[in-house]
Amino acid sequence: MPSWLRDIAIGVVLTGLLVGAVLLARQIKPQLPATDLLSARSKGPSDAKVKVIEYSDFQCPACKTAQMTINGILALHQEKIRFTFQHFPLEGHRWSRISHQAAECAAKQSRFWDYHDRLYGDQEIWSKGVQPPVETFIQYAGEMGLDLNEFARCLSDVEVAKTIQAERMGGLDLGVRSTPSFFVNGEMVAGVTGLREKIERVLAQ
Amino acid sequence: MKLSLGQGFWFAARLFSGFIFAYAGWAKLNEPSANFEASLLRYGIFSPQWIPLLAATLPWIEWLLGSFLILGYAPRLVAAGCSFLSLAFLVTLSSSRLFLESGSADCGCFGQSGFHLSIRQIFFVDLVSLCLTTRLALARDFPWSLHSIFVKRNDVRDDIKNRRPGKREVM
Repeated sequence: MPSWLRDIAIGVVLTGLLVGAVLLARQIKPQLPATDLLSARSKGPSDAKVKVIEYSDFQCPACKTAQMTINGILALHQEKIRFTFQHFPLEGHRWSRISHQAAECAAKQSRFWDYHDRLYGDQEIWSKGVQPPVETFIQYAGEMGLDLNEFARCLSDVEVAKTIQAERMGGLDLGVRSTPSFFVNGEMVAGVTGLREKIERVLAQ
Repeated sequence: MKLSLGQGFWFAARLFSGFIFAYAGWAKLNEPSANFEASLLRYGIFSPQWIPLLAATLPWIEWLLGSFLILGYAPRLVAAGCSFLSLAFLVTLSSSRLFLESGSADCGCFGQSGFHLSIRQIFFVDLVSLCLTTRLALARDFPWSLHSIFVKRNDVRDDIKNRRPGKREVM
């Protein structure tokens, strides 16, 4: 066999092996969480053309800023987008975990989105305290008319904390490293600018 | 096979440059391409219509070139390709407003889950890579590579072919 032909054959075999390695790695990658299990933290029609998952942290200032853009996008295409919130408390934020637990407890009483908006709205108030803002969170729950006994019990429930941690770990497995991170129809999008562009592109198809 | 200091340095340089390219490609290929599209959009110098094509092809080119360079397959040609890519990255980085305005922002070169190098850090890495791969593209000797294995085999075969029957070998 001429040496040039042998070199091309080696190149083809190597390329095949390298492409195969990538395809194999993609096959064994963890799958996106099913949004149907998260109905309390989802809004929009379940058969929407665009399914958006947000991994967010209640104590993250960038996530708070992103809310205005997200609300604008959802208002513009409310019948076409199914939006789901996923807990992703960041390690560096002191009161992040307890705030996510409070929001999850509100979700158990079907008031997740009200609580979500309140946490972002008052982020600068509750995030600055030296003590865990448990009283503040109970006060928010009271103002929303939630069952406070149930809310207080849930706030110290280890199982709820485990659920939040599991979602965070799931996000890490999917490649989430910063907040807010989004998945549009299963594809990760970085930042709200990318989110808007991706949604517009999917809707235009 | 024992390597001289110089050979050892250029062998390490080949592995380093190959690893940078291969890892950048691998990390991006194992994430949704929208991640890389978003990173490219941030640079603000590519036309949006070309971004999906660029985001779909560039990681494959990086992965293949980087792996070929590590393995030492067609090393001169591959090193020239890597050198060209490094130069293209340097031009892209330096012509983007991000370089001046937010040089500490994540470059997005290794996806979301890989290394997080800032735009200024990756500029330095690309500069080093450009120097190394340009020198490798001009090199003749590639120890511990597929190239060296096949060149040796060819040399042996040519030696056998060139021997004339009955000719006495002179030591």
